[in-house]
Amino acid sequence: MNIEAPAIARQLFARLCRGDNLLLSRNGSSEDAELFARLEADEGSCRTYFDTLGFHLQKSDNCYYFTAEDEPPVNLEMKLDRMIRLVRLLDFLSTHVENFGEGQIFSASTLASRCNNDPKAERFLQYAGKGASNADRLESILQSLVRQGYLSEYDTSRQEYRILSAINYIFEFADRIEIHGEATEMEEPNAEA
Amino acid sequence: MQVQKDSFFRIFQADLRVVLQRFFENRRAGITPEIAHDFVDPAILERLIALELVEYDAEAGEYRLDDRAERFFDEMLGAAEVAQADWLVALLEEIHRSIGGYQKLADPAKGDVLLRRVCRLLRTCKSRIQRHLEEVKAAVDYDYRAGSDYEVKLLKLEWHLERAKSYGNAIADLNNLLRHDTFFQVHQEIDLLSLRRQVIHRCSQVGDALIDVYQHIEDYLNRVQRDYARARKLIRLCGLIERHEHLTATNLSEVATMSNGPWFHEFRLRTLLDPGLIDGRPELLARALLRAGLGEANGKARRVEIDQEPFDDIPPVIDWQNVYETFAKQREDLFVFLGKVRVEGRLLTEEERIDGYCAIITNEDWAETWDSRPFELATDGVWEYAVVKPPALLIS
Repeated sequence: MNIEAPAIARQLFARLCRGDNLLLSRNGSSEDAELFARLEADEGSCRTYFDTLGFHLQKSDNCYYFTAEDEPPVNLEMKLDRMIRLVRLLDFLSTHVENFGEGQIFSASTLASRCNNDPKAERFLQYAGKGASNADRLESILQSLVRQGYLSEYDTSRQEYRILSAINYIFEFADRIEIHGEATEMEEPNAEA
Repeated sequence: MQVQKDSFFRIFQADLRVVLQRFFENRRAGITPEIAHDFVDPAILERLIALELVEYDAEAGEYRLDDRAERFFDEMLGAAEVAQADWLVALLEEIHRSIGGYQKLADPAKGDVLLRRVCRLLRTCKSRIQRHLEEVKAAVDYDYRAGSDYEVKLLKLEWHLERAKSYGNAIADLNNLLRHDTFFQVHQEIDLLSLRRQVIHRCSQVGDALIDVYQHIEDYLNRVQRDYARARKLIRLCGLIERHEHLTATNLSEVATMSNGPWFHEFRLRTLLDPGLIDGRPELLARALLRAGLGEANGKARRVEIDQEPFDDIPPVIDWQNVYETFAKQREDLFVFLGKVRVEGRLLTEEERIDGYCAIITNEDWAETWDSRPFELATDGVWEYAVVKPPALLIS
């Protein structure tokens, strides 16, 4: 069987398999945005090519990432731990960043000031961050999110960050969680127009 | 919004508040002295001018709100106010009244005045219809982005939707009036004809654009509802996690079991080289990619032959991890040992031997062992390597 290796295969493979940032966002850096556009245009052949190598190209809302079929099973306890971390992180950011979502820009200093004297926020920072002060902890959390590709530094002089499309990938998990014993909230979409 | 607007104007004296409100509502239409005298007593108008709340523009022959007062009202009433389409309804009523008056008149001179009035009103409609649409769009965007209270946002967006629809209805009424009213079919003056055609064209353009606006608002509404539901769910989930009830009260463990992707660190490059090497040693990654048929293909499409091998048997990109433990057990003569090792039934190539050797000595586990053994180190400019002299070679 012959499979055409897409022109972006090498670049894509290196981008999505190397380092901590394993997500390709539509609104990422200019290189990422360009690669995203090329991948979107050639998605089918990339998917087929990488499938044969055992990598599955996954598309979330405006972002791509790889999963592999023969990954060793991961410890469920660790996964649970990550899931709890995810819930707490999203709760923290949704509470303290206005309109927390793809494309939004927020200031770390404003966020830090909102966390002061908020016991719940301070508890979260102690749980998730590293450092002596709340500002340091917050900084470590945000930098970690930047490394993982969920945020990008928008204006370093003003400590502003931009939320990348990759955030939709973790929103999906939050949306899948259901609380037992509560009526499922059926949201009727407004589509009368 | 009407209640809010009325209550806001209560800060002014009773005799001024209605007049100011009328001026504010008609701030984008030219208020000639005749119109002004229709709705305001001359003495009150003089007072408003003396208080610098209203000014008279002698050149244009119009009364208008003082700039500062208008800006103040704009800011106090907020962006939502601009979305009101009352002005168009009022203009329509006025056009209807003028047409009705014209048809009852016997005196042609008075009729001309009413005809000119209809033309003036149509000109106002034409100039303001598009601008109002832009204002609605801006107000919707503003109210979607500003503030963090989901309920307020929902309320405001629902207002906008309602108002956009009422604006759409008013546009449709104007369109019907211009197309079907006998007055416009009977009167064929060039000015009126041209104006009628232009306003009809503008109405159809704005009507089409309004459909996009409805969809835009509904999209925003759906997003806010989704974000609001998610935020409430996250708050409840955090409460359950704090009380250690998340495993029994939610399907969190089920979702965690099924989850995959970067957040869960399930996925790692199948090379199985140490992650530290992948991240920190680009040259090793380049070699791994080269072997996988992914190297040196920068920007060019190539054919990769994978015949005669079922998918499951495709050799991994590179798999050093399996032999690492065996290597690690070799306390001495590692490089010599690598020369004898067989992988998949063949000896390692020279390149693989060097790669493997470098991979092992840069591995953290090996480094601990390494520290306890004094090997001489050397470098060729690119690679750092240990000089290991096997006993057999020393003897010879």
